[in-house]
Amino acid sequence: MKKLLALLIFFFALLFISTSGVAEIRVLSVKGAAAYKIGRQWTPLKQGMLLAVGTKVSTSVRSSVELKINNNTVTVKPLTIMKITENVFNKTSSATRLGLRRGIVRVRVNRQARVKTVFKVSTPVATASVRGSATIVLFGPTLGMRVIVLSDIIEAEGANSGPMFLYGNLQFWQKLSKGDPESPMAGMEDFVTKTHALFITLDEEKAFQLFGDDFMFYEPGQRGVQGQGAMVPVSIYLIWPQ
Amino acid sequence: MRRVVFLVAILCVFAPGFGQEINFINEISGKKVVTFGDGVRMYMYTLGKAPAGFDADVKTLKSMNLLRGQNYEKDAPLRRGMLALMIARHLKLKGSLFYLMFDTQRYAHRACVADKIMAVNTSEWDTLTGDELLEVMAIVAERMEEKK
Repeated sequence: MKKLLALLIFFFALLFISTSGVAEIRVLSVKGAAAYKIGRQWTPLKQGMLLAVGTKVSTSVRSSVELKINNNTVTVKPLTIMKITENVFNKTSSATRLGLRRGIVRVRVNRQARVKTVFKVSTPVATASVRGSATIVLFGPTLGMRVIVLSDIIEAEGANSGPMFLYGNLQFWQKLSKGDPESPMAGMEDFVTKTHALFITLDEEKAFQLFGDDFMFYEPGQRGVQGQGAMVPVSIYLIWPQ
Repeated sequence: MRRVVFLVAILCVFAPGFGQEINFINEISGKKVVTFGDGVRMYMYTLGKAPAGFDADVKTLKSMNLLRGQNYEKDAPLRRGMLALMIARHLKLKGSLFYLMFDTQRYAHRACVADKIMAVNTSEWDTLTGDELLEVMAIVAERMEEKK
């Protein structure tokens, strides 16, 4: 009887330890030169350090930092500056928010059945919400924010757009020069659209060979009034495989 | 014992370099307009070389054929075209026929746009903020790694 009781106590203790957690931000590894700032001073970042909420992390060229935030892993890529703005972790919920000022972060969130996990990466133009999945978030002051899905589903939301659910090869891209994000298929354009050689005239083919994309109109600019897309006639030829 | 002394000596030589690099990056990150001198120094870090002062750095970049002019002003604002020309020469970009014909800042910028190193809504005349310079240099560093 005593043995059974001891076993039960041990089992419940184990269950308690596994479900309850402490909010912890730990530096797993540092490659190259990286620094953290809390207050005014930048200090070199070292493996095994514990960081507080509000800490900024900066990496140099060919440098990266791996952080463990609760049960989740964040890899800070080269030439990135980010801030850990929020981190709450208890038995039932986990909420983490990173502010990405510039650069690239790779996030892998481990979903736990009993813990409601919210992990957000925010930039000045949009927010990506990672729940039990992996993603890469890029942000630059001219190229804007891009969210690439590595596994499962990611939710991304621009400042002027509703939430967008991304999976597979779909990407979220919010340029700074535009109010709305690009089509989530923008990153797939190389695979989805392909001009069949039969429909390019010899002149066009020659011109492409000679001039490449020098004469391409890079920026479509504003087409009509915002929200009212202009109608453009498009011919589509479908060749069905036999 | 000799090995330990040797290792310590190496650490003493390289440790301040790492510190300087990250401090410089964090310092220019907040700048509203970066100078040509900042651009040259940042390029040296991206190449994995330790900067040795503006004149020496310019000499190094000239020896690598990234810079070809006679006079460069350290404190002049860095224009996107200046940076694009260094990048296009360094990465040997071929996205613009006109760049291959005319080695100028204008077409080097076009080549950088074609290669998705710079955004389309930028101009070769734009000055750069610190974050913009670092954004471009992050892409350059990535392309360098890809080429290896």
